[in-house]
Amino acid sequence: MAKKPALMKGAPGARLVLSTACLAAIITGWALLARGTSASQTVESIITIAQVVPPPAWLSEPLVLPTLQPIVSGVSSGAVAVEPVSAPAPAPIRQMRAPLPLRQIQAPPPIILTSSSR
Amino acid sequence: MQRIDFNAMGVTVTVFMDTPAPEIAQELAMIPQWFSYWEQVLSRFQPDSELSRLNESPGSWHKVSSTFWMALMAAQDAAQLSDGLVRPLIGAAMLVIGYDRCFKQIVQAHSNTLPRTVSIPVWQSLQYDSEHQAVRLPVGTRLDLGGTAKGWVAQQTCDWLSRFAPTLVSVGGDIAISDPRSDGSAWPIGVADPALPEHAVETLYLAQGAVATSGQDYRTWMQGSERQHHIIDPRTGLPAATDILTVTAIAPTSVAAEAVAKTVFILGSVDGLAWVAERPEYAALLQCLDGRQIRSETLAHYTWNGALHA
Repeated sequence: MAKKPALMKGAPGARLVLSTACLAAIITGWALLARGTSASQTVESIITIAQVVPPPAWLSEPLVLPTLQPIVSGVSSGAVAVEPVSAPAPAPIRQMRAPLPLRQIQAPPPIILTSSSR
Repeated sequence: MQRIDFNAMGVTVTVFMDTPAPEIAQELAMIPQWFSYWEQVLSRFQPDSELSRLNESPGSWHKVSSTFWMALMAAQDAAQLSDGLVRPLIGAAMLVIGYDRCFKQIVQAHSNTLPRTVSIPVWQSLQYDSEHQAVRLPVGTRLDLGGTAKGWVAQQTCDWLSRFAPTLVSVGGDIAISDPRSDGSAWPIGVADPALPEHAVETLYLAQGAVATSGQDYRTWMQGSERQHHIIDPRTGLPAATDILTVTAIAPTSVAAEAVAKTVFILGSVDGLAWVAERPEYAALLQCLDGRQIRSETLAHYTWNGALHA
């Protein structure tokens, strides 16, 4: 029965050594890259990148708010907006009088008479 | 309110126009001239009037003026409305009873002649040609447009003036009203007390239409031993024998009001009231010889309390 080559027999150990070395290198590299780098520096770099593209023209214009219209103008296209009229001041409250009986209203006197021809 | 008063056609004429406009005074000032013209056409007391000339030539055709034609047609309308009791062919009867001159002259000239009876032809016997405005009186007849003519001129005047302002026209008590007064109210019209003519026994309120009064309280005179009055009953040819002293009638026009008043007067209180009751477009107030006052049911529409509760 043929023996497997020694190298073959020794391969799992070599792989372990290599993996450990790689892992150490990665960690070391990360540590080196991470050293001296902060969050603020990262934001600055983003803003800097955004300023490269000019803002839309409308954004640089002063903000103009639409004027509010009277409600009535929005009710009907045919309606004419009318200046609201101030209600008159309410009359002072006073005691109501009882209505006059009809018979007390004076009948107008005649202005002319009708009679047989004269 | 502006007014004018003057005498014409043997009576007092009064015109009211309810406006303060100063130019109305000019219109009012013209009215007496209109009445002078109408008298020249329609009076039977003016020998040269169109009516008098027509009366002198019965039996032949005569073309008449537009004024005469319209007044005659109004008289024929009154005849139809009154079932023939108010008809224009009573001129001969008027002469027979002594009403052959203006009323003032009759009263001064006391007559001892007793009246005869004159047959009065039916109103349809008057012939006329509308196309040519021509008229032919039956032989032996005479026209008298009388009270109907007064009603007609009152209505004509009122109709003309109403284009300027609300108007009331009174021609000897025949009253035409165009519209309510400027403030929207009705015109108050008193019904004269025959015993005290300056006092009213009732006040009527009319927004428009007409009022007329006929009676035997004023135009009366003695003929022989008989007291005569001027309202002829065509069924007898004599002054109507009636129990009524005066009748005041309300109707849409003054010609109609005049015809209604005379019809009720001739019929008497019982039949006259029944006649009005069958015609709700009219109203009447009867003052009887015995002092009774009788009102048609429709009269309440024109009295103060009745109008308020209508």
